Formats: sequence, C-alpha cells, structure tokens
Amino acid sequence: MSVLVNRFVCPICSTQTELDLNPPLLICCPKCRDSFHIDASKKVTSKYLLKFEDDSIPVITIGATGKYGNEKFTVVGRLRVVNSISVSNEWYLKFQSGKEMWLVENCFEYFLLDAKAESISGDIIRFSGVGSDIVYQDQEYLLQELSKKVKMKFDGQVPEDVVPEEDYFQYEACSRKDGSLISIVVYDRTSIELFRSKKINLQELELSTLTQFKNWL
Amino acid sequence: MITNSEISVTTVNCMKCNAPFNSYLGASAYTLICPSCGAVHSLSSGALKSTGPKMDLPNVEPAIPVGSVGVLNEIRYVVISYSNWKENGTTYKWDEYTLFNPIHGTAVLSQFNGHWIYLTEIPPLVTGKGMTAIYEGKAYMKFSRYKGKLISTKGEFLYDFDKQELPQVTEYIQPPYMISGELTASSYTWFKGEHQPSESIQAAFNLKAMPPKKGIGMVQPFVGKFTSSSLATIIFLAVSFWMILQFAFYFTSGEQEVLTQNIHIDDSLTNKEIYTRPFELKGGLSNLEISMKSDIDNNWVYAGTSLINEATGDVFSTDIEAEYYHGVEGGESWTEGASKVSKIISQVPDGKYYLILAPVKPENLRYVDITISVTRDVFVISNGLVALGLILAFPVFYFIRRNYFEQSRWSNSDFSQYEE
Repeated sequence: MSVLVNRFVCPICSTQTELDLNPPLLICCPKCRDSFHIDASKKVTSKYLLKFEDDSIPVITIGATGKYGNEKFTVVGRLRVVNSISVSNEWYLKFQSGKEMWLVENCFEYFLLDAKAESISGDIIRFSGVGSDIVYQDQEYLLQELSKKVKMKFDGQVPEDVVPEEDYFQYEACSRKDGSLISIVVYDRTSIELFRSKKINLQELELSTLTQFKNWL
Repeated sequence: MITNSEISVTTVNCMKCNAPFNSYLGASAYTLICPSCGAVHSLSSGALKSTGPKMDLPNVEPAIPVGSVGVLNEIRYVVISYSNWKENGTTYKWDEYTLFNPIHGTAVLSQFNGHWIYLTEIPPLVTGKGMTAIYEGKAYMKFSRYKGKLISTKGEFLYDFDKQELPQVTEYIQPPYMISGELTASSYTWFKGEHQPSESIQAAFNLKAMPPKKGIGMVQPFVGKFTSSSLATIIFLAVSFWMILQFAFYFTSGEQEVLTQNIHIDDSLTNKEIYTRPFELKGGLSNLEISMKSDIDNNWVYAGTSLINEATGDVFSTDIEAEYYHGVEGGESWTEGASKVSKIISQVPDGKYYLILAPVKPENLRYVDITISVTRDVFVISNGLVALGLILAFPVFYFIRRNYFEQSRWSNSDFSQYEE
C-alpha cells in the first residue's frame, strides 16, 4: 500500500507526499518525477506521463499560497499544455473551504476557471470559426482562438479526469456584452465541455511567490 | 530565464547552424529565431524543433535591441523580439517590439516613421459599424484596413506564427488612442494603442538614437491646450461679451445732432470757402460725425472740410466725397456709391465750432444741393469690428493650424474625410 492515511509513499523512491486532494487523483512524485494514479480505494498504479522538466519562469509554483475572494488557497497541481498556438500552464488550486479552481496562465495572461465543466451540445459551434459569433445561454460570444492540444505534462496532484489521453480542440471565446470568457473543449463529436473563466490581475491573488518578482510588479 | 527580480538568459543552440543564442523565456518560449541563420525553432510538435522555412533576419540593428530592459507606463519590460512588417501590396513598413513582463504579460511597441504606439490586448468589446468603432464609450474613426506581411524578425515569441500568413488588420483612431482588430486563421485579437512620445521611449530604454520622425503619426496628438469644444466655448463667451459691449455702446451713445445746414452749390461757389453756422459741443470728449447728403445722380460732389474750434483755433480736417452712379446692363440694374456719405472725427473736445467747406462739383453740373449734418457721440461699429477681428484671430489661426495637422495625419489613410 503506497498511501498511508493521507500520505502518498512513492513506490519507486519511497518519498512521502501529503495528499492535498481526495482520491481518485493523479500524483507526480516530487523527487523522482514518476506519475501515479490513486483510485478511490487508494490503490496506486503507475501512470505513464511525460516527466516534467521545469525551467519556465516560476511566477507560480506548486505549494504557493494565495487568497481569492477572502479565501485562502494552495497550488497543488499543474498541467503544462503545449497546443498548436501557445503554451498554457494550468494550476490546480485547493481552497480551505474545499472548493477547487484552475488558475490558467497563457502567454502570461491569467485566468480563473471553475473546476467543474458544463457539458454542451456541438450545435453551438457547428460551422463556426475564429472571428465568428456563437450564442450560448442567450449571450453572444466572439470566437477568438482555436487550438489543438499537442502535448501535456503534469506535476503535483490533480483530479484523475483532468488529464485526457486523447487530443482535443479548444475554442476561446469572449462575451460581446461583458467580456466574460468561456473555453470550449471538444474531445469528439459527442463529448464537448465548457468552462467559464475570468481574466484576473495576478496581483489580486496575493500569491506568496510574487515577492520574488517585486521588481516586475 | 527571468527569475526573482533579475534577468538571466538561457543559452540555446541552433538546431541548424549550432550557433548559441539567448532566450529570456526559457521553457515559456514557443517560437525562437536563431539570430545567426534565421532558423525557426518551434514547440508546435510538442518539443522544441527547427521547423519550416528560415526567417529573414533584419539587416539593420533595431532601434531597441532585443534584451533591452526599460520601464514604460510604470511597468518594467524586457524586449524579447523585434519584427519588421509591411502592408501587403504597398511600401508602408513599420517595426514592432514585443515587451514582456512575467506579471503583467506582454505589450507591443509599434514604430512607423519615428512615431511610436504602445499596444496592449483588450477584450473584443468593440461595437459599431462601417467607419466608426465604439470602445469604452468612445468613438474611433476607421483609419486603415490591410493585410500585414512579415518581412524580418528576431528574438522569441510566446506563440506560434506562420511566416506566410497575412493577418487581416483593421485600425480605428481617436488620437492619442487607437484600437485595432487582427484576424488570422487561428485567432482574432483586439488591441488598444496609445501614442508614446519618442522621448519617453528613448528615456525608458536608455537609447542613444531614435528613428527620425516624418510627417504626422497616426495617433500623434495635436499639440494645443484647447480642445475644439473648449475653444468654441471661449469664442462663444468672447463674442457674446463683445456683442453685449456693442449693444451697450449703441444704447449709451448720445447721437446728438448739433448742426444741419442746407447749402446750394453753383458755379459761383466752386473753389470758394463756405462757413457754416457755429455750433456748440457739450458733454465731454467724444467723436463727431460729419455727413453730406446730396441730390446727385450719376455724378459726384466733393467738399474739403475743416472743423474749427472758435476759442483755440484747433483744426480737424477731412475730405468728404459723394459719388452715385446707376444704370441697367444686360437687363440687370446696378448702382455704385451713395449720395450720402459721412466721416468720423475722433476725440473732439467740448467747445464752440464751425465748419469751413471747400466744395467742388463737376463742371457740367449747373448746381448741386447738399445738406451738411454734424452729430456728436455716434455709435461706430468699425472699432468694434477691429476688436472682433482680434478676438477671432487666435481661434481662427488655431483652427487652421489644427485642420492642416489633421489633413496631414489622414493623408496616410485610405479612409480620409479630407479631399486631396
């Protein structure tokens, strides 16, 4: 058994890591960088995922803390997604209340996303391309970007279902009315999810790592 | 790589020519251009690889070297790339510099003919149609629409780009601001730009030399302390005050007639002096209007006139000439001149006076009857018109100068409202 109460013991290097999320989840050993799946019964199996060689700019790191809406959070996981246009770093936030959200950095713009997706019909984006408008829940959105996932790496701890094996397409759209953002992820014709997001100023989150970048604030 | 509050570089070896070059973005870079051979290194396959055709490298050093650090609009930036673009199908070329800050993201500095614009991305909350776009409640006028073509570039980028792609760009201006929409196959992005004085760019990046300025920049503000509306308000208030004063002068003028005398001029009086009855001026220093009314018809009459102060002998001289002609030509009647004329003598003090007239009439006119009138303290509009001219001179000059400035600005646009 590699999970002791709420602690994960790496089967490869025996490093112990506190579990920040409830199983089922994916976890990357912080020492040997191997990835594992922990199911609901806390059974650990090896999960082959690309190892993370992190040499990007450490504005946000796993273990960083912050505050949003007067609620404290900890950064517990990360996905690094290389798509056909750019690189996104998606940080998984665990709040003290138990709430979970994504903090996404794309070209060093920052967005907060609800962790829960809405399943939608493909009719919304049928025959629509970049530059055209779609309507969702009576609101008009401009399709601003279309990309395809090329490669994904993960680090830390994330829920098991957030690392899709297959490729997907992703639309970014912005409301014509109030600038609110949605991401539409198309896995296949029948599996399409919508995430609501909000652009934020990183300084709003009072991240513990920002003190190291005080000359850039 | 940018860490903590310092900037250090990661060395990358070109996969084509093996030359080392610097990267400030490290693993965050999506596209890197080798500054030695132009090889494009891209993450588009998931791992950094040399892909596609080589990029043309700039053949002159950019005004702001890649890697320069400066503070612009209170944000510290490092310049991570330089690109030279042209409007497809024309000779218009401009430079773009990508500015990077790990907290605030990226911005673009655009330079055309020595004029600089600082651009940041905005949400697509742009409405309006045709020649006008509305953003944040302000109207922007359409200035240009074109396809951009990348000529040369160096540095690194946070995103993928296709050297062959021609982004469709539409620009609207409201100096010193602009908004522009840029459409490619994979993205549609809006930017808001603001004019930057070249001195501020030079100071921010500690540059020794700047590109020379030519013409008027697209969003270069007109240097004047007045907006059109404030100037119009000032003119309105000044003209209103002037009108009030003129009305006051008119209603307070005495218009006191002190002499009316009929004079019959025949050949016996030609070149002889005629003395009028004496008259008295009271009420203080004022102007005097001497009028001559005659019955001439297609003819003229002249009177050399002298106003004599009985006590002091002071003389005020003037000439009065009346000409009146009329006729019909080509079925249309015409007139020229007037049979009643007047002259104003200013600042005549109180006292007893008389006029000496030296009348002259045409030889072929047997006689002419004239009536000489002298009126004290008359309302004279001419002085007021001079004052009005002086009041309006500055705003008229200001508007002319401003109009010329705007014509020059719009001479670079295909959507100019000004006739060439």
